[in-house]
Amino acid sequence: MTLPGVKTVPLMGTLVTIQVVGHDATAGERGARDAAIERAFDWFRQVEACCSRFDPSSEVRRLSANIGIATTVSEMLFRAIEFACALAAETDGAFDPTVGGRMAALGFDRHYRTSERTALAVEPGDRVSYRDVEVDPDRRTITVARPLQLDLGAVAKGLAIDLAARELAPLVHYAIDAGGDLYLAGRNAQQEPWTVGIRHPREPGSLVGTIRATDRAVCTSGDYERPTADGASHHLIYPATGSSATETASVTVMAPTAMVADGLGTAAFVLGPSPGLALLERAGVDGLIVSADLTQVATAGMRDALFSHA
Amino acid sequence: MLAPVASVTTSASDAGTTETAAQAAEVSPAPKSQYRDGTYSGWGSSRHGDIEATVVIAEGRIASATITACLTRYSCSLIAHLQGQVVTRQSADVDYVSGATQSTDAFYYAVVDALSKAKGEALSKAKE
Repeated sequence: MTLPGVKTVPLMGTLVTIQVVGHDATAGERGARDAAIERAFDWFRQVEACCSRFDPSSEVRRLSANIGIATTVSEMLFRAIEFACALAAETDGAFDPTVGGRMAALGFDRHYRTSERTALAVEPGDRVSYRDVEVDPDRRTITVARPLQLDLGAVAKGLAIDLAARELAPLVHYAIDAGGDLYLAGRNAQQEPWTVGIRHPREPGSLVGTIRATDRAVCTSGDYERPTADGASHHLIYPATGSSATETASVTVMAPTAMVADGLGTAAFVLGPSPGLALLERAGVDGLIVSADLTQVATAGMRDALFSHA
Repeated sequence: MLAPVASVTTSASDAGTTETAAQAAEVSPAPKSQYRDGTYSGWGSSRHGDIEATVVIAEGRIASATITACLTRYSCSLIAHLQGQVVTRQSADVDYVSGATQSTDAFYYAVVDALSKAKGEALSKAKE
């Protein structure tokens, strides 16, 4: 038995659930609703085909092999790279989309569906950074100056959520859950703002708090996601050293779009609690940062939105 | 698909879980009921495999949440302790969880799935 208006599909290495509230009075409404949900899922497939660093035929992999040539790319890929490089500049490289080579060195080089090891498109140089990626918004070209592998993992899922949300916007009340990265629109089935639990980074099944969200993305980056095979490090990498950031346990960001929430959350995670919070405040978004010792810091807006989970 | 509550609470697979459920039911105040009494099953998935949870609602409260199928690459004994937590916390007062992606979350989402059905039943009943 499936609740009408809710569908879950494995996509982009996680489970994606889309729930639409209402639009179920007639067969015609339900048909239009279900068609919109399918179109929303298609955005995830398109972003995956475009931005996956695991798929040799993806647009980003082909771009990464085009060294030194200004390459015209799809609007989707351009938006993802433009945002990733802007975020890298904003964080002075604490967040860096050219971290891909080091991700592979740490063992994050297996396709999540097939578990097959993916060969690098190119051998990454030692000291590559986002500065080796030139973004030209006028001609919509990207130039990869040196051999490197672009990793859009921190922004691609958010972009897919945002594109799916745009598709569902006419339906007003809906939720998109891509493996714990969320976009909540309108109200839930009880006609109330959506309630969102923030996962406790150390106690599986527990929450550090609950917030209400309407027309907002809520994304969490945690050190509990995707541990490496030896359990020694996780997938949020400090670009300068290639080792995992250790001061932060999790960062939750609430923002108007998922790409911004996910990207800023990843960057704040790498920066550490204090500079991370400063980044979120500078960017004008709300967030909660849980340190490795489980102390919490939050923006004023997030403190207001949080209520304790009794 | 609704089963009498009394006949299914014994399906809790270990005595500790059943005991926790009974204690939680005694000490917690009765909330306004958002669930319809009955037995509901749901599935949750992760890259480590799938879990089916069965939730029993009695007098509008979560009486038990048990793992009824475990198709994971790890042993489900690793997350057996979660079964009691759901009952203690009466956790489904959230619509979604941010940051939940992995392993144990398969159970969490199985419970959320089951409870969404309990809510759905309650809502459709209310409309009648």
